[in-house]
Amino acid sequence: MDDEAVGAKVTRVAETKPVKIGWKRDLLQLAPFLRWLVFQRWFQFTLIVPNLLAFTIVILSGIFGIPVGAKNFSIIFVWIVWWALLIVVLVPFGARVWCAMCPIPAFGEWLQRKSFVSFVSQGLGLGKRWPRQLRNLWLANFGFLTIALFSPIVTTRPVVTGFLLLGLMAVAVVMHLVFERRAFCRYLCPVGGFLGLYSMAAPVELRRIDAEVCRQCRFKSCYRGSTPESLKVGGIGGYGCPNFEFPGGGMERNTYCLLCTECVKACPYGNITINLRPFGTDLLVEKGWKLDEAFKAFIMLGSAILYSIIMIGPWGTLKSWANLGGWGFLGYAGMFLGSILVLAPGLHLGMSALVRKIAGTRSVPLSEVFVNTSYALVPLGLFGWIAFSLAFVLPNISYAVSVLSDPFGWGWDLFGTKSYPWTPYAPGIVPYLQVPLLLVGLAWSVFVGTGILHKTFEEAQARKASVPLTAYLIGGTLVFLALYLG
Amino acid sequence: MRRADVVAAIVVFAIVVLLPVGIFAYQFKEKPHPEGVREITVIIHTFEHGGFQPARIVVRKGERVRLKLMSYDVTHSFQLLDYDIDTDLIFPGQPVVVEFVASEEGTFPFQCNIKCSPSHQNMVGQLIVEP
Repeated sequence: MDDEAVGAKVTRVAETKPVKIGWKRDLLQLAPFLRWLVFQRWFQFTLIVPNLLAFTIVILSGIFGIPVGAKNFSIIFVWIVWWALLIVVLVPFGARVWCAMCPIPAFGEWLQRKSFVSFVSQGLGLGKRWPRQLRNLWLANFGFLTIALFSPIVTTRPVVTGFLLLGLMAVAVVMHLVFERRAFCRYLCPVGGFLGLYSMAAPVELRRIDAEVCRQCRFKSCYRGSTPESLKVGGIGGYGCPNFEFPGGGMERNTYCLLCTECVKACPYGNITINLRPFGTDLLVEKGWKLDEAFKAFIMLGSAILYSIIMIGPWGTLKSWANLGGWGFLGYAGMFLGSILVLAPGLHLGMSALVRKIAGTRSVPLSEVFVNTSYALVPLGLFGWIAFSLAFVLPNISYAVSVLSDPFGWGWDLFGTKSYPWTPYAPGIVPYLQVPLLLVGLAWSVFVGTGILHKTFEEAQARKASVPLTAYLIGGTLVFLALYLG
Repeated sequence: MRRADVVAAIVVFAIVVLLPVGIFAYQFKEKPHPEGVREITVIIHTFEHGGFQPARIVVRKGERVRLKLMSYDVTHSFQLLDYDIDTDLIFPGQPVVVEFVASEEGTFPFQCNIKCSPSHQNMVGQLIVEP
């Protein structure tokens, strides 16, 4: 098939009714305005700008503003407003759409491309390849764990939040100038790892439309970026996937797709789109199941449980230890890291061994059962985080109204809302929201877990093996419920 | 550079350079005051974190003085009893302004009157009125 024939085929697809692939709907055809937006080179820049503005104020207020967290824009807007938006809205419904608008790698990427908006084929920087042995999530896991360990400090001290974001931006700039593409986002960003894990649950995806078109394509612009030759055929000029993905080569999971839409712009055949789809489609995609992602699942679920104990539990001593309370901090650190790095994987290993034993087969290695079943923790982890977040977001989000008028705590009153009182919203009903959320997470995890077992074992073996896995998931949910309901 | 990039560069410059400059200029520029009024910002921390900053305020006799009192951590208060000044609570993020004429020469103590930390008793400073 020559280029024109391939293009004609895609045009036919694009001009007919919305493509229906199973339960999927082509969002760019359903919403022509979105399609128009995505095909503008300035699209991503306009997503980044408001966040760059907010993050600039966050960094300034964090470093120079009042050190009282509740009166400082940096703490309220990062750890209450941004976090709530991220975990309750953006990730569950928009996958990694935050990554498309994140200002942290923006300066690095603009420098690397020598452009803010336009497609420029010759960039800046050394363009070195990221070391092969580090092409995984372990560094990101380490980064997240480090921040998580100090989160009682990070989330309450404006100056720490300010310098943390500034530091991440500086690291991202260096990474972009030394390594190719967005190596920072793929391998280092402490947030990116869990966004990737939970974005598998989201009801949107960026995928190729027609696999045959991609097989025939000789440009591979979605990975390599547009070239003069590919632009003669089509596309508006786009960079190769900044996160080292190859959408045309059969990207089947959201995990590493930043939704920056560069591939959509680069594809000469208009063969890449954004689909609406059922929630959680990627969780049963076997391709890509790995140990580093499995550990990310333990880290996230474990952190949600531990934060529920430390931050909103009644154990004041533990809270003071976590707040750099002398030698007690070492005890807290030991408990935190031990629970996440030893206890959680240990329990999961025990469950995996039991699953294997009850399934009655030795043909599937224990390591495979361990990794595969870890993906069943994703829905429960996501809903656990949402439930935990409600417990501190609803009581504290009213601070946002006053810090909007006085972001630095300097006595300003920009919008006349400086004196808006602290108003905990819906304090009495939080548990009534948390319980159904956790039960939905549990049901979804059991569904995913059962699906995973059917992909791992024979039919009859999977049925038997689902008993210990379900019991394990119920156990995890009961821990959350015990903490929230006392 | 294309026009879109030029516009984008201006937007980014405005955010990362002009915005911070504007913020600091707005906060720290000399405010126009009636002639003779001297405004002094006093940042208040607990004693363990620095206490009154500055803890020594020097003015000239006859000057009209405006003190902008800002708590940077917990609830404090400010007493300068020789000048009949005794504020209500000073909450973080809610500056309190007091104004007086330094009519008497001498050294006058001021203090916090709310138990703000274990070392609250050290929360003192001096107003020095020179001839």
